Amino acid sequence: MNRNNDVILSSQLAAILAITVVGVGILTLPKDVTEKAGPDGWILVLAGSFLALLAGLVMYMVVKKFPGKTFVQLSSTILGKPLGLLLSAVFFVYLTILTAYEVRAFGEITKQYLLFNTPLEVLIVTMLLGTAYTARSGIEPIARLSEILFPIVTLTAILIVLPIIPEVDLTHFLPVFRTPVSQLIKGVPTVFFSFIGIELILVFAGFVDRPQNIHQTVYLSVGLITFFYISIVVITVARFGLTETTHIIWPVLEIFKTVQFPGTFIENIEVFIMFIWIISIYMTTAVVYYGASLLLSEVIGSKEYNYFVLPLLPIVYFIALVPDNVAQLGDWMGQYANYGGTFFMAVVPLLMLFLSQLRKNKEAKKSG
Amino acid sequence: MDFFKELFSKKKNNPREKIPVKKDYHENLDRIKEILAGTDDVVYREFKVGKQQKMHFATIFIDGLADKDLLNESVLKSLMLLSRMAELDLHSLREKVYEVIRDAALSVSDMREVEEINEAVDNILSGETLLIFDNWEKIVVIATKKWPSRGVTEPSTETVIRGAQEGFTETMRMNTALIRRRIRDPKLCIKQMQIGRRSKTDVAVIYIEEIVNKAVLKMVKERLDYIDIDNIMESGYIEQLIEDEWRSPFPQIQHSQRPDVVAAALYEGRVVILVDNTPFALIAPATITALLQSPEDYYERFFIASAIRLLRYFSLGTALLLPAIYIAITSYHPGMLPTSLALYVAGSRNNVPFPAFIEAFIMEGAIELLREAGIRLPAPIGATIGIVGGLVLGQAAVEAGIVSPLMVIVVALTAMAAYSTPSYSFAIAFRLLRFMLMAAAAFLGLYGVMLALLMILTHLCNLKSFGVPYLSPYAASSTTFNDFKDSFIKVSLRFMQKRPQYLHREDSTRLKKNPIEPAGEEDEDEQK
Repeated sequence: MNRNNDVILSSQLAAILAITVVGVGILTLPKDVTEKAGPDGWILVLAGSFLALLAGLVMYMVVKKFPGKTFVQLSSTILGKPLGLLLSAVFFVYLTILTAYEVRAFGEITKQYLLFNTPLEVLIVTMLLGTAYTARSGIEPIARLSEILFPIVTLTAILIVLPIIPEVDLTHFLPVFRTPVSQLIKGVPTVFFSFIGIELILVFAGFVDRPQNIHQTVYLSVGLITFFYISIVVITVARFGLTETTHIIWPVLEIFKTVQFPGTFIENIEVFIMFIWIISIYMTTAVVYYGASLLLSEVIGSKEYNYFVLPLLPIVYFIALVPDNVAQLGDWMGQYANYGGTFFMAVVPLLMLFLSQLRKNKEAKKSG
Repeated sequence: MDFFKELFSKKKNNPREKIPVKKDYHENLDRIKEILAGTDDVVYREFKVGKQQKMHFATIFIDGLADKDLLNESVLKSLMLLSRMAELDLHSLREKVYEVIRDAALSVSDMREVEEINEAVDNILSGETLLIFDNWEKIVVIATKKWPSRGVTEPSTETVIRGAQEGFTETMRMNTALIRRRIRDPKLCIKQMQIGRRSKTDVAVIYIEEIVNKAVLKMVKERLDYIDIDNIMESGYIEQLIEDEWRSPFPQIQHSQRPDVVAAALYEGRVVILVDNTPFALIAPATITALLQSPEDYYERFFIASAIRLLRYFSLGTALLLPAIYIAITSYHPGMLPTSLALYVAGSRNNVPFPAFIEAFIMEGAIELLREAGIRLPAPIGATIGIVGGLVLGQAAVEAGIVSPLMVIVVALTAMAAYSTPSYSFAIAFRLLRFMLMAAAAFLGLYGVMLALLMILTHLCNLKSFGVPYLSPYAASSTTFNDFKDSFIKVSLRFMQKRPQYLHREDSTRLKKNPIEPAGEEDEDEQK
């Protein structure tokens, strides 16, 4: 449809990325980080964020060379047509599976905290239908949605966190640097992989009105996400202590169960955290879903991506139901994030940067 | 978009043949009589002019649409009586009859000539008077439009405490005059056209040349030109034919009955469409802020205006969500409430035989019925219905144990909140969506409510009104910080130097010089 002329600002892309990345990663991050580095988890978060920033900048350097190009055009130019198409197809599969896992995680948590008797399948299907509607509407509405929802999510989160502050005990973090450096380094990838979603820069860069400003997008989104992650790790550990944090499945949700607003009308505040969490996971799913169907249409060579949104739905649904239980889901997601994340966040951008540079040098030689 | 294509299939040129006016007076008269054969309210007044009564003249007009006094005084009298003194029969003057009549005989302020019979007939039908006479291949059209019309009255649908109390009427000429009175700017353009193959309704596109958003103006004109329909009864026809997305409950064009609202919109760079026979003017593009503001916001002090605006956003949320949240909490999440309140709610619902969803549907349905009945009934009975429906039924329903008292409170609050939205068409969109949210709450609890809300928000983000995002200035790439000065709050007029940026107009300065501060003496010293 020509109704939306499909142009977004670099700041809007930052909002999309921030709300996408925070979605699932935030729930288990405190647990993972504390398992790996104990009290020095926050250092881990900083280090991982730095890596993510570097990865984002590499992506920026790649997309800057091909302004206004879709991922398929970009990879076909760099790798040649067959390889480029293959890479795009793999990217599409990766995003589809990511959508499925996110929807499944959403279903599990909603069942556990909000709707105890509703079948998981119903939750997954309704969520997919809702996100399909958003995914069909295109990049501009998604950008506007993120722009509106991100401040709402952030402000609500801060408001909810405020009453916890008197109860935190920062001595859990002291003394710092208790963990050996080698162990810290081993833990860094965990944080790096909770930045999954940032690789969407490669897919969405073609829509940005001024591609030379995408580095601002990277700084802004990684900065916002890091702020989120550090504060949530610090608050969770400071409130629960090290051992408890590692033993709870969803520590971030549990922490909000303990919040008591003095003298308020509403007793169980975790419903509010569920609100903002539903918003953020809805956006994550919608954006990744959109990315997947966009890539599929590009690989096939169709101009209309939204024909592919609904046909993808049953596929995503079945993939989402493959894991047997929460534990397996968590395991698989972790593994998946490790391999897929390494490939698309680090290997692909670096490779593309290298090859495009090589090609450029070649051309320079030819003409010179 | 196919819908648009079908609807606006290329505008056909008027298929009617052109009939040139002949020199022969009788032939012309016969042609006109032939075309207007079935209309008995046409008056043909034939008479003869000149000393020797040799020249044939005729006036043709529609009884009731033309001003007979004017005709008698300025046309018939001067032609029949006064022109006798001039020797019109004289051979020397014979060729110049028209000049003589135009320059000396007709004492009317507005007249023109047409050369084509069908065009002349159109003029008769819109209330003008035709003057035809011998030896002249043109027909004189004398502006005599005057028909029974309502005077300027207080607009009943958009009342304000402070502000102008006059509203538009059904006569377009009066409406343009009301706008012109507020904008004495030569750049105020009023472009008129006729839409409707049969109704030939007058439609005017109004804008201020240097301020208007050119892209919007172009779109409005294009879409208006595309319309090919037999009649236009009300501006709602035009609204439905030119809006961006017909599959949306939200109005994408604002309408108003108030000249001050329309003038303010023109000053913001919007385009106004006036339609004859209706007091409702259309304003495009519509944005969510425009639909949630009342002209009073700008007339009152900004603290109060801001507070009331926040209240409106809150009431919008209440009108949309309250029954849904009631259903979700009572049926899925009773643990959310403090224990004492939860016990009370459970206790009050103890005797109610229905699930919360059915209970809410009964009551919300009843209040919709009441509202509809209140609008349709004659005013004196309307009040009775209000009492019988609202008080008696509500009380009886609670006593009979069909609904819980809490539900009655929820319904009443929702109804009040829905009424506090200034734009009626915007409010009814939310009325409809409320039922959708109630269904979502019944099936999936608070998660369903969130899901439905996010889908509505997606839809709103997707909407554009003439290329301008509907949610401007909250989420639009062209928004600047300046636009938030007049959004969910309104800052003092002193700080609103710029017109809304999301409309991208040319001359963007609203306020050039701030009012003189009541200068303290220190300030003056500093200046020295």
